[in-house]
Amino acid sequence: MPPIKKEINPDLCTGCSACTVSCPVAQAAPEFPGPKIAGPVSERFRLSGVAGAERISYCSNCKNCDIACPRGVPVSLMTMAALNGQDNGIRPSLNNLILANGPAMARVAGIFPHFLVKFAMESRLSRLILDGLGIDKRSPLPVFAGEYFPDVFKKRKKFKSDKKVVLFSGCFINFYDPETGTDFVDILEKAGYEVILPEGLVCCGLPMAANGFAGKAAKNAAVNYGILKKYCGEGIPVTALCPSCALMLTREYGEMFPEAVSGEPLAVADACSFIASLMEKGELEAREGNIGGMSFIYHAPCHLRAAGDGLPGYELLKRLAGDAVKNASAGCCGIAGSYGFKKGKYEIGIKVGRALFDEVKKSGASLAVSECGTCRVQITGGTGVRAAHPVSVVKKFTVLSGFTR
Amino acid sequence: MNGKIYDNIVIGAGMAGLLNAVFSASSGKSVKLITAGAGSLTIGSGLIDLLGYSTVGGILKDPFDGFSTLEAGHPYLKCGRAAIDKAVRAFLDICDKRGFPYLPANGCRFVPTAMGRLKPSFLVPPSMDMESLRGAETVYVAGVDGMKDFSPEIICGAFSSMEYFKCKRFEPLSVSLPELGAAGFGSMEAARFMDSEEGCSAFIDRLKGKINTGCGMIIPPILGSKPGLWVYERVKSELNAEICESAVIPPAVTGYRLRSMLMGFLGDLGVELAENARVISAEVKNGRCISVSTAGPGGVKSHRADNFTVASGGFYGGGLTSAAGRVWESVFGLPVKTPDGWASADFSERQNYSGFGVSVNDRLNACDILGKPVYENVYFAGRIIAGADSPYEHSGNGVALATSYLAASLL
Amino acid sequence: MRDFKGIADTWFDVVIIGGGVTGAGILRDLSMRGLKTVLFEKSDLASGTSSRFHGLLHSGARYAVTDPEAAAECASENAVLNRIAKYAVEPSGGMFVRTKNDDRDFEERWKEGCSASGVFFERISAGEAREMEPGLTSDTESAYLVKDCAVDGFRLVWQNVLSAGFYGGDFRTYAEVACIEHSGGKVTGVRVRDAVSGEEISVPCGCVVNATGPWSAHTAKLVGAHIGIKPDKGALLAFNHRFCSRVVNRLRMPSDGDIFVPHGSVTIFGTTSSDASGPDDSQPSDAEARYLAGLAGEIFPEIESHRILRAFAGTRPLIDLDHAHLGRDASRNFIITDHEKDGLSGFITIFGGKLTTYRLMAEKISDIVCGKFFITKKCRTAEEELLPSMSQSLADRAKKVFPPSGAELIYARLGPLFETALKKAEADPRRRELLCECEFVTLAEYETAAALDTSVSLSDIRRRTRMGMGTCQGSFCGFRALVSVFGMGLNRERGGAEILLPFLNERWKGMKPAMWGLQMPEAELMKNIYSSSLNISGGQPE
Repeated sequence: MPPIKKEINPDLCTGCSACTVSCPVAQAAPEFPGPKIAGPVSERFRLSGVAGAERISYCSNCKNCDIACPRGVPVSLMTMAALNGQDNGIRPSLNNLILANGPAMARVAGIFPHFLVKFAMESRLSRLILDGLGIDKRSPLPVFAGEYFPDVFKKRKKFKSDKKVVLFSGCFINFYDPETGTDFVDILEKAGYEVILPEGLVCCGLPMAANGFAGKAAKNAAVNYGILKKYCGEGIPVTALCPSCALMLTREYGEMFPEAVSGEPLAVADACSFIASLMEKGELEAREGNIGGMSFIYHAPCHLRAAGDGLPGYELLKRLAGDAVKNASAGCCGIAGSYGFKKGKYEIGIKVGRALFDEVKKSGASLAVSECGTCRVQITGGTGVRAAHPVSVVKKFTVLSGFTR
Repeated sequence: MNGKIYDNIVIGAGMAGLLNAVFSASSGKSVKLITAGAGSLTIGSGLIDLLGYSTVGGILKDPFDGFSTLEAGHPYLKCGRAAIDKAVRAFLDICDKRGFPYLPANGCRFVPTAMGRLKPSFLVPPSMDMESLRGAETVYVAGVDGMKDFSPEIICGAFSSMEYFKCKRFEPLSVSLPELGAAGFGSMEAARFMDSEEGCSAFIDRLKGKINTGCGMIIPPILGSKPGLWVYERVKSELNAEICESAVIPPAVTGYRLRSMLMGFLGDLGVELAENARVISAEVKNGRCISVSTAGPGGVKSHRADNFTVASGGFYGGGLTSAAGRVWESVFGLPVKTPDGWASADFSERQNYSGFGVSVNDRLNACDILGKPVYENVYFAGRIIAGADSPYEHSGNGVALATSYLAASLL
Repeated sequence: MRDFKGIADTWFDVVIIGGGVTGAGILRDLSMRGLKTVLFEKSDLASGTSSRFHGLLHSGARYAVTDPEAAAECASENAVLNRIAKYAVEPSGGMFVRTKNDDRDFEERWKEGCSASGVFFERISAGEAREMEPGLTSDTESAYLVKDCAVDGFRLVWQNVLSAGFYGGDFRTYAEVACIEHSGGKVTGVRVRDAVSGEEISVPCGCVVNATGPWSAHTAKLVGAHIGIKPDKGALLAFNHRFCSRVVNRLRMPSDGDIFVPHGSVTIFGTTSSDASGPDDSQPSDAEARYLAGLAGEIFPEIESHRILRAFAGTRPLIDLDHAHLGRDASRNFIITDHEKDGLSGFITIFGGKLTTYRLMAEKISDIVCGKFFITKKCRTAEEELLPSMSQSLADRAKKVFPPSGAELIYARLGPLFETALKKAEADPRRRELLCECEFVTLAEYETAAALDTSVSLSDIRRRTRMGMGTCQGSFCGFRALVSVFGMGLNRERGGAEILLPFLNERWKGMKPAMWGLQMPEAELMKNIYSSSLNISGGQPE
């Protein structure tokens, strides 16, 4: 009999099925029993030592179940905890190992010259090798940027100020998209903030937890929590560019690794939410710039919606670009972090994302905008439309004026 | 941190919350909708019952006939007939505008249910109106092979023995849609399949030849998952039959359609939406609410507005919380009157707890025993309001419509 | 079985009245010894006291101070049942916990009592106890491990009856014994009424055993005999999930609300002791449910965050020989009365006792009955398993159609009928789908149980499968079960509501007393589904 874990209580569930109706994976893959059965229903059995439903590895951890649940049942948490369980007979496979360790792989790639890495990742041969390891050869893997964002940041001219802000840039920015990181730092400095990129931060741990390596994730949680707690304690705000990282650092650390993160949960502001607050405080002024006839289609990442703070990036864009921005409101893109890269899940991811792809194509927008890096990769992969983080749009297409004293 | 002051912050995304947001945003107000969960429209029928049963017994022909028997304190009596009429018109206007028209009502309309009962409702989409089968002598009750939670035999058995249907013949029928798999699917999956050209034609083709022209059909709610009538119109015209979808156990495709329609409208109206956000507290000062707070990754966040509409539902929706012997409203902690005997021993009977809720005045403010408002800029709408046993009297969604409209018009 | 005509005017050596665990145990014992025996139950098997208790298989520790004899019996029978009834017993182990509010002296007496009765116990520290059971109160001062287990009353009864069937033992449910016929001071037979059709048959026999528990006095009255029995009501709460891993007892003088039994997917907590208005008094009051919930909080302080699924009650057949002993103070020991002393030979009543020692009781009375028939065969019920282990070939086949963990669960619930369900699932993939999601009941299993002639109502199917006993309490599976009944053509002229409403009302009966907290959302949902959406009790327009 497994010992009872106090944190997981399935009693909030009424079995109403609201989660299953909203689950994009259950719609795309009938093999998946759906979040209600994978989560709270099975949880009661897992507590009695009987493995719950099979095929719970179909869960993409997109959290639409949590969003739909009227009762506040931690549906996705239960499923993730079960995926990480030792007693359920599910062992993570090799593809999960690779995807869980995206940062480590990227670091290895980072020591090679950019063009070589690019070649390696895009060559048919290396994709075949990855395919053999369980990364679907058709999936739109991001390309390693060649330069690590913290290194880019270090090379920047130092900007000193009394006003400080900590940036948790996250793996996607660090390895694949340093430009977005730079855009954000530019904006923050314009508003008179000195940006701190603390040494020693590691991957937030979400890819590890979602692929069955909770032990590793817990270690990362302890490291990040230790570093960021210090800043929070000093009243220095912490921001993150990736909604999934933000959700992990705050809500999920406490829920998943209560022993690793004793004390107050971290407060991590979404990048756009932070920009909006600077504008409200009058520290930053952004006027509609010359968007040159461009139009934007916005996609709300599921993990941003799950954060419970609305869509600050979309609201910001609306303020700056007005009618030129439209919310796709078409649900999950299907990538769900690393899910859509996996063999056997790639098709599901594409199927899930189809409504969004259609909406993006139909809009005729010149640029798709979304806070989440892998969402952007998926959208571009599915539609051919370029995609950017809202901070990049703010940076490039609006006139910013800071009020640095 | 968020400094914007909205005209109206709506708490809850069930029928009352969505409608209140739509009504207030349509009249030009800046609106933010905060919700924990997708709301009960994903599990309810999406039908607007106004008053199906008189409290003194019996199905009502016209809901308004039953108003004289409503007990003092019933939300309808707070709203008044005029506001209810206006709310009904406003709702029908929205439906028309968004391409998903509901039928105008002149008295109760009846909807067949999977239990083999007629459900007295008021505003219903054309695809669920039993009246459309009036002329049909033969009514096929068609299920889909392997589909969960629907049995033509239950409906046929019950309807065949009803005096009301004595001139009709009910026949069970089964349609095969192997594209959906052998089993394990419900009406939602079937409806999503019917959204596609492929699904729609498959359904029509498999039925052709099995039914007589001019017959009637009762089917599970599978005529598309999206708001709109095109699947219904097409199936109806190609089969040359009158069709009626039935009310079923959750998940409810028909409620989901209405929800999608309203959500789409909210987006177009520029209503800001914060999902997965539970309001944990409210800041009140001098009889007014200044802000409500939610907890998110960025810490506790306060949301300011001139007005607040609480449409947080009952026990299921989370608007009411209870412990042994005690019930309170979840956001403001308002006490809720609870007469002894919360539930009746008989499941079918009236249940006292169904009427538990916040006592309001005729401006839908929570009020004390003397009718004095507790917070003058906080309005309540929907199930959270005390005084309606909606499952028993069949007033579900009707109270939500009337009160959400009135609350919006008072802003 | 429900075929009455087939046994009309057929001779049986022994007729047993009462389909609880005692009657089922006697049926098995007598059948194994070669007596032609039939059991009559007025309702469904295990629908009375045998399923209306906390599901604790005592280690004996609870009676160490108050009833040393019972303690010793429990200790040895616990070991026997662990051996023969592995598909009904969960070897969870148990714990006794003394909080700072409980009497210290009792702890010493308890330890002495255990030692004297041969009841195993092992001291652990309060810290260890809370590590093993994280929800335990911080008021825990001392703790002991014992050999308590959880036992499923439904399964235990069924497995006894089915095992008896293997030796020729027969039974009928919804079979009310209307009259015990006798002549010349000797029992000659019984008249049995089919409670569904109302028809009566005669069954001649040589001996009648009254094993009707709290109904014993009523049964004895059929022949004008008096039985000193006092039905005593015990109320219990069923919680939605397991919040402890083993049985948790409060270490104090046995009192109200001091036993938690994790049981399958739920936890049962009880019990109380109060005068029952009669043996059918199985409805706990709202006040009793609240009282119990308060007591539960003394051991598991976070109990408010746990949902109570339902409150239920059973009546115990407590011995009241001289009216001096009352309630919990009355002996838990059993008494066998041979009514030969009242001038009627061939009529024996057994009452008292407890579920843990049912087998021993059955053995004792079977010895007496066998004596009357000059049968010298020894009791073998302690040696042979109730239900043999699932064969490897079945397990291999089951793996292909049922979830790996599900197969064992279904085998435990269905026993010998497992293969029927398996074949259904093998033949048709649709039958592999879950009908009851909360308790993992597949359509194949449900239909196997529904097809039995003993399944007169949906509640009978529920007792066999646990369908409707989980989180949703029938909100979803109730309707699904109805659809299946119609699909199988078992509705027999009855309308949907006629079949479903009694089931919903029965579920409601248990939810109602515990209607607060996390129960309310479920109640509201259930009521809205059936009344608002489906208008289940609606009439027709004019």
